[in-house]
Amino acid sequence: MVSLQNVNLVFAHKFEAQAVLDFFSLELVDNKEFKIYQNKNGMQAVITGMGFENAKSATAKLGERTLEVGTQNDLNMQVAARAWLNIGIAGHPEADIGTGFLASKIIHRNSGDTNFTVPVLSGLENATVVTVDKPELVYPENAVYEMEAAGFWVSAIEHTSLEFVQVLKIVSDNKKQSIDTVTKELVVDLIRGKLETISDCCAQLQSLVNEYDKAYSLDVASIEIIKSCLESYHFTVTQKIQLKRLVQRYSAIDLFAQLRKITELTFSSSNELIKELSEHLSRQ
Amino acid sequence: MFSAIYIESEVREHDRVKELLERFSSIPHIDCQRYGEVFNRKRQSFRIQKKFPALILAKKYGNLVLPSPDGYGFDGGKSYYFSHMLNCIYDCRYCFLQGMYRSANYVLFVNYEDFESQIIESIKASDGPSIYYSGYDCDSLAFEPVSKFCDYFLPVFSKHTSAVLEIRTKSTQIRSLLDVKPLPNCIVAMSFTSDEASLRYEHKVPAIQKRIEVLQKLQQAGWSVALRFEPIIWDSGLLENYHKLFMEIFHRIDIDGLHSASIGEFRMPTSFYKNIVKLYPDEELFARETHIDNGLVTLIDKEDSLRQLEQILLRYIKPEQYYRCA
Repeated sequence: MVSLQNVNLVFAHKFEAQAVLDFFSLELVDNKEFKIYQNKNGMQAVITGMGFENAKSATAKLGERTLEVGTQNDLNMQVAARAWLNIGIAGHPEADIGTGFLASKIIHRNSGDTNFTVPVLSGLENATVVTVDKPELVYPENAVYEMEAAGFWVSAIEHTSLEFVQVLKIVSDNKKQSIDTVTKELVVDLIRGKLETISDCCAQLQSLVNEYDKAYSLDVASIEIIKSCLESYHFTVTQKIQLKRLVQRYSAIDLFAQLRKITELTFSSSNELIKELSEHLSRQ
Repeated sequence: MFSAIYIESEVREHDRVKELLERFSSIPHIDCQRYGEVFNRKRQSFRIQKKFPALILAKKYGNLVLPSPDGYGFDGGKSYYFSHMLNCIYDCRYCFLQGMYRSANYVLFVNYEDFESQIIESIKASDGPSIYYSGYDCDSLAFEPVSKFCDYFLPVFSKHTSAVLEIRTKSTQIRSLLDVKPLPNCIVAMSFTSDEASLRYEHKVPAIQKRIEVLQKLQQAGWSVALRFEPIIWDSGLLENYHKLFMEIFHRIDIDGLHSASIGEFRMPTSFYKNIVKLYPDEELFARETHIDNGLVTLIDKEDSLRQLEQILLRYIKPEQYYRCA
């Protein structure tokens, strides 16, 4: 099983998702409002249903769930950012059936809203993606036409940094082969044919997320010291943030042994502890 | 070189844009209305984007030439700066741009003609000599192969000799300078930190030796050069490290021909500093004790190193060649 634990996948339809769900061993874990899938390592997927509003709601739901299952924690000591990838079929005036595109720009035709993805993925052509309310039959511009990306974008960016929100569309119809020819079997085959590409995009995103998490998470020893302090004294929210920053500073300046010594002493209050940690740093 | 090129609709048909799009035809070209749609958005990670910088081609409206901050440069008349570009191809950990902008993309304002008009207007309005700094929000020379900044702006200043152009840089891209006759009213000001600081904080920046070589070449070709020792970042070996740097530089350049040398400590507006701390919480530089005065953050210097450093520098240059960057 390939596992990319910090990636959330968003599909409009089960037929678009099936091959990917199998590939990543994603299993149904929530069947209430939207079908949500997860594998043992934490990768998640949601089936949104068709259209902007469904994509927006289901993506938001998956975002809420991500928070609920505890990937964020008090003080954000262990950062666990997630990447979001919307995968689906789409129309394009000229491109061959089966061509994959990464969205560089997402236009919601109904509202006129335009958003830009951050170009962090490589290996695929880029295109403007136009999210429409009804299937596009004329393909007026040199763009990819579909029905969910704009809704997905609106919700996904609420949960992560813009760099980690991406859209991958696979051409299922064009001017030569109309949308009427798109069958369930064709959709499954098109996605299956792009599994390697999808996996590669997920791997690139996971790698970036790992780098981000590593940069912003505290190391195990720092977390233990903070937890120990939190157990020993009462801290207000502001004091907790001060404590975290002080621990980061001691760690960055390579004064960890001194940090450990100070925190092992007994103080009358959290305020006294913070004061001593600050003053010790200023004496360096 | 770029992950993509964004093009403002206003400049789509500009010759400078057409030429760049043709030259970088294999990179995705993405149309936008205004550069802020891409550059000024919330929830961007400057740190991640620095790995995948895009180029944004845009038009700058208004405030094209601004008075330079107090103490930014040398005496010699009214001073101004202009920024035909935002952000830098280098990745210096101490740089204030990281805290100033939300995006690490490079914005190139292609309406050089408008900059030229405002510069000329400003020169005419100045009662006496005036100084124009380029390299405040970017490193002009480093991006020269793309921007052709010198190709355009050197001829502008060649026609206005009462105005001085200072190009502040860490770049070794000097072909466009060596290809033309030196301008007496243009100064190439090379920035340096000590070798130790450079290795630690200046990522993707040409090595100190290469920068010194460039200064030699420029002097030999007749260009006026200057030295900018900043930011000074306090360190236990600071004086020794800078002494070593001064020796390396001053044994290789013509000191009499040196326009000026300056020293400036690490400093930046508090709001930028706070943004950078969030961006690099694990960075030793931003874990140090700081002093805030008048909205500016500086590092605490218990040894009065700046004054000592000035004394060392003044062993090599004349007092009239020196100024302290405020």
